[in-house]
Amino acid sequence: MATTKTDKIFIQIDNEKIELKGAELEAFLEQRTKDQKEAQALKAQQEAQKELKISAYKKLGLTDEEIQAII
Amino acid sequence: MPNTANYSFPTPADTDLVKNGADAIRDLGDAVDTAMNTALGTKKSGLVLLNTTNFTGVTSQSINDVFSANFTNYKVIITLDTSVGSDELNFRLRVSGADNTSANYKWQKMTMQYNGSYGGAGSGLSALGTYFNIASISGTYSSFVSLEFFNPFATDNTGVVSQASYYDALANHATTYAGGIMSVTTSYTGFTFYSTGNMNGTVKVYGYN
Repeated sequence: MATTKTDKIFIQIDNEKIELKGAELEAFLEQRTKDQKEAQALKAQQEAQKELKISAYKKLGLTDEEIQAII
Repeated sequence: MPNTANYSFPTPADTDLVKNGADAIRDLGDAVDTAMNTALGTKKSGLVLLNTTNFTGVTSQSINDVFSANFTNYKVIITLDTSVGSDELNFRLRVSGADNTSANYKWQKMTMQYNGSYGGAGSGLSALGTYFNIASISGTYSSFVSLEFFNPFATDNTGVVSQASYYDALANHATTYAGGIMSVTTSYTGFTFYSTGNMNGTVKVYGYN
């Protein structure tokens, strides 16, 4: 399961395990938020492409079951 | 004069004269030098293990100073146990102890899985991203990732290809195939991989001759 915001955050650099605190923790969480926004944008892009494919297949006369089997 | 057991390096006998010690040391040094040159100079191993790092309970693992002028291309093997949540494994390149977090990463990934029938889906950013999202991992079973970095230390575009094998959240086996390239020609000396969950596992880095 994903680490929640209230959990401690540990990173490792080479063999040194570090618990992030203070400014470093804030910076890490800020970067994670940016990463998640990037991932959400990608997911939205993928969903749009998927809807486009479904629309195209329906125009070709495929049933919903057939479309789910091939997308 | 006796020789060592494995590689027959010459060593002085207990009864040899002390005044001949310098000569004996020189002979030993010459023999070791010759053997090392033979093993590494003219018959280099094709794949050289450079780094093994184990990690437990961390959301991010960075490997510093593993890319150098000694090798052009590198192989990375990551094995993760069941402690990580079903998630994406993202990668960034780094130099001087800091990750490149700029929008310099271009990548695409194909996920193939069997959940009663074969299916596949592709993903990738149309614009440049701030990380490589080139592997997916499991929260139920172990995950295995193999990737290769091309030209990371050179002042050239760094390329990467990867494969990952894992069980997805529905316990269906899946495989990802992915590739990416940096839009900048920065020289990198290491990399970071991270997930939103905590990870336990091992990472090994090899240099290709």
